[in-house]
Amino acid sequence: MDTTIILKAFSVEANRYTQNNPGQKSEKLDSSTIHAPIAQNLSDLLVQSNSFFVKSYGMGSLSTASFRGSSGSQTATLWNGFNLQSPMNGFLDYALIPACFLDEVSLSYGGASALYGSASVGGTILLNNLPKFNTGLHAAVSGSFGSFDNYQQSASVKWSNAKFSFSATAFNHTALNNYPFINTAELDKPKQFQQNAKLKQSGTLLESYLKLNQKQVLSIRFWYQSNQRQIPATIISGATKQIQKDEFYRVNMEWSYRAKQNQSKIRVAYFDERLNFNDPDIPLYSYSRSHTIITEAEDSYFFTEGLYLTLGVNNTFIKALSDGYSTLKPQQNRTAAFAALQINSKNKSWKNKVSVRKEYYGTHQVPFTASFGTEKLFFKLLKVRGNISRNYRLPTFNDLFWTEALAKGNANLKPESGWSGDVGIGQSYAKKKGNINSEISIFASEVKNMIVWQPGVNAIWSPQNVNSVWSRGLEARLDASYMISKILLQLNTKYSHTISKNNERNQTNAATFGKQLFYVPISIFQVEGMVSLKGFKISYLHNYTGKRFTNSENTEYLKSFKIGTITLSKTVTFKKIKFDIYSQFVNIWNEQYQIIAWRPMPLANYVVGLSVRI
Amino acid sequence: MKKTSFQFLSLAAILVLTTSISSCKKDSTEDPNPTPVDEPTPAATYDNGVFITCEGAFVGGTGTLSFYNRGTSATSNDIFKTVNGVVLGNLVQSMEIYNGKGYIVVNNADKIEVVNSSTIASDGKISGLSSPRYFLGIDANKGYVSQWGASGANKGVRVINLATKSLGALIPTTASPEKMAKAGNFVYVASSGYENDSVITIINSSTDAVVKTLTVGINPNSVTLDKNGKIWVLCGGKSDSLGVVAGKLVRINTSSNTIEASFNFPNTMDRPQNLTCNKAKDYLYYLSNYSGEINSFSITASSVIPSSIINRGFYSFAIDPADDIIYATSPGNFVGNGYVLRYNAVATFIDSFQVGIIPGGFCFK
Repeated sequence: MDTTIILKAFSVEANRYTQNNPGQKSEKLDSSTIHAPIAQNLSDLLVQSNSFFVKSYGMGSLSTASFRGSSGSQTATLWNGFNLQSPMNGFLDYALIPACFLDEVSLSYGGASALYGSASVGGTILLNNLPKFNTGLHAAVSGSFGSFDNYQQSASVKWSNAKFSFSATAFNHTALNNYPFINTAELDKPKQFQQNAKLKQSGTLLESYLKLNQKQVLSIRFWYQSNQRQIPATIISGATKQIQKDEFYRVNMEWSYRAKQNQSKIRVAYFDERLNFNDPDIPLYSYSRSHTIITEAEDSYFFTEGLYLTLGVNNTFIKALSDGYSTLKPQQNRTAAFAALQINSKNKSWKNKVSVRKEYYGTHQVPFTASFGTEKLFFKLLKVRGNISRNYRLPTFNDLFWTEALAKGNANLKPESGWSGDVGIGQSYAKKKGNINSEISIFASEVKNMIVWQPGVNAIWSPQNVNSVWSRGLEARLDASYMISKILLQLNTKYSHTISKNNERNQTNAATFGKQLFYVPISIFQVEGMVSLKGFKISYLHNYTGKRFTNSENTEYLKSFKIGTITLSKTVTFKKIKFDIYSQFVNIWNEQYQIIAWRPMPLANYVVGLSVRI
Repeated sequence: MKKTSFQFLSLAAILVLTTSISSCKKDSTEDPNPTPVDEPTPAATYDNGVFITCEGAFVGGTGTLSFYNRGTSATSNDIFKTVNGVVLGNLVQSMEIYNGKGYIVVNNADKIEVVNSSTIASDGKISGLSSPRYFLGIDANKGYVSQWGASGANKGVRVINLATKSLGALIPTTASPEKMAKAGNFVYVASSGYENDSVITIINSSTDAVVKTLTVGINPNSVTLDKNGKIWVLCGGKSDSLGVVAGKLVRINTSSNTIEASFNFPNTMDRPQNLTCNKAKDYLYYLSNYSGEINSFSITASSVIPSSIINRGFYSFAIDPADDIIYATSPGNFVGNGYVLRYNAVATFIDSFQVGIIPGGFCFK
């Protein structure tokens, strides 16, 4: 009996992708939020939990995240441990990740390249699908509809016994997104409707897990998705007919072995990602496709329960073709070795972790990275933690291989590199009737050799390692809950303050030196109040995002905005069938705002959803 | 118990719906657009000076209009927004003053903003164009606009009724029509054909009919009229994977509408553009796209010998017809504000001033 408990603890501890690493700030998204029938994609989920900035171009449009003053390409996003960022442009569009395909979403703040590799500079988003055994047969269907002809349907079937587990999920989403807005760029400020913003996406996720024996599990996951989106024009340009089609196949397989003193994993993933962009007005038709194979093997050896060493290797092979690469068919083959040592005190009140990683990529200089994190629990309620990490981001294929008449990649680019660190103190106090948790962190980071595209000789644009960014800030959180007879009251608040400045003075950047990075808000504040009673829940979420500069010179900015969201939900059980009814009213104060300059966001809108589970 | 909570739910839902609907009613009047940190100060008047059109950041940026006062040497930036409270829109391509009105061509917004040329106060707009490039005034009621058209479908010269600001006939040209020049009754349109065509379209501006097309050199991108009443066409040539074609200068006799002389550029890499004249209209000036140098050429010369007068990587330039001062632009990093550099007629640097993002066009008043 004892052995089983220890094993269980081990299995969680040794996984870099599902568990908080000592010293690092992390958050797990509430699973009921992820699985609410009105949750559409990862972008929507992140907006609702934001103590960082989600850069969205409008409903259903491109969306990326910025942690602690970094950019979207500096936020590694791992699906079951494999980085989903495009090897071509470095971005991952969170609007293309359906919430119904995710079991668990956790956010890890600060850089952690020694743990997660390239691009884990500002933060890391971990998306996981978890095996479940002995659950029997379950099925769920859900549907939602909302403003602007927004319809989403999903269905899933899950079955498992003690040895085998299978799950299939499919979704379909269509929207017109023809929302009204006031065109303040016109003299007479006419009321207009967003045009060319239709979207249509559908996809399937299949998972199967096989327990070969008590120690070994084999996992296979397959994800196919097709997304077709029109790209709306800004309010300062004429109508457009631009359309983009993203299509991808993602497969991963994993063999895991778990014994008392030893845990091994061999994992492989294959991603085939295609992107078609078509602008019939210019006319421009561009096609690009990338193949990625990631193979990783690691072993953790437990000297004692509180002392274990992980050693591993990772190989990433990428092949891509694009109209932008002309006849080149660039390939990349990188291998990284990594190690981590975790030391916990006997009663686990003090945990430490040292990690190192060295990546080899041809003749390119990739920095050796290391990180150290520590956390200690005092009096069972006060947690003090800190970590420091060296981080890097490799240049993308576009940065290296682009070959066009007026834009050329630069094969000699160095990776962006730097360090980040933070310290935090958290408190948690729980009583029968309620609890109160709080945390405050301060962070700092520096990224050097930032890759910036700029015009050079003969006005040919090419990327150079020019800027460095120096960021620091503060994050605070206070959560409380209290039970009055059968009514549960909850309050969650978050605040972040981020100063992120261009810190390298050179010949060309006199006007941008020492200025806040554009589209990085200095302050973000969120407060949510919730009342629940017998499966009925009502909540109000208030998001405030401070002003953001729209250029590197900081001569222009977008005003702060506040978004109020009311969510009502009710769960009803009827003869083993569970019904979840949700309705959400977004932007109830009818705020007119822009996240990206000249791209209007929708005014007040709603979504209603129902899911049925057996 | 379930019944009561359901009632609670429906009650709350109704309550929320009501609040959201009622809040929908009050439309916020706040302007959500990007706001300048320092509001630019308007100039007293916009007479005796030079307007500079600044394209603005290519992706998702707004173009602006700057003004340089010849008398006080003062610069005023973003004057359209300062005066009218709204922005010009994406990619401000060019501006012309005709009969006291300024016609500001906004390429990607498919429109021309019309302003009072002394106050810059908006006088309405001409919309419904399709990738417009340049404006040319014809008579009191009529103007021409060259436009590329979406997918090249509506390419040509659009006739504009200046009084009603409405669109008239579309005079077809070959692909990507650019600059136009008028000699007598004829309008000469250079169509670069996305650097692939070689055609000048000649339009009779009384009848709006195409009277003739002339095949000049590859990629004709600009035209100008000299003191002898001859039209000069600058063909940029091309250099791509298919080969290199040298640039060419072509002189057209405007009585017979025939080519009477043509001069090949000796340096095949020159890629000349931006043909313009001095005040006396006896010297031609152009920009080498390859090196960004300004070169000059006498209208009586017998061959093209590029004589570089200013050697610096310019983006565009123009010559003030009032005093022969050369205004050349440097867009810097194409993301931040650009500069205008001034040179006198013998190419001596005078001064420079800061304008908006990617300054590309000039309009002298």
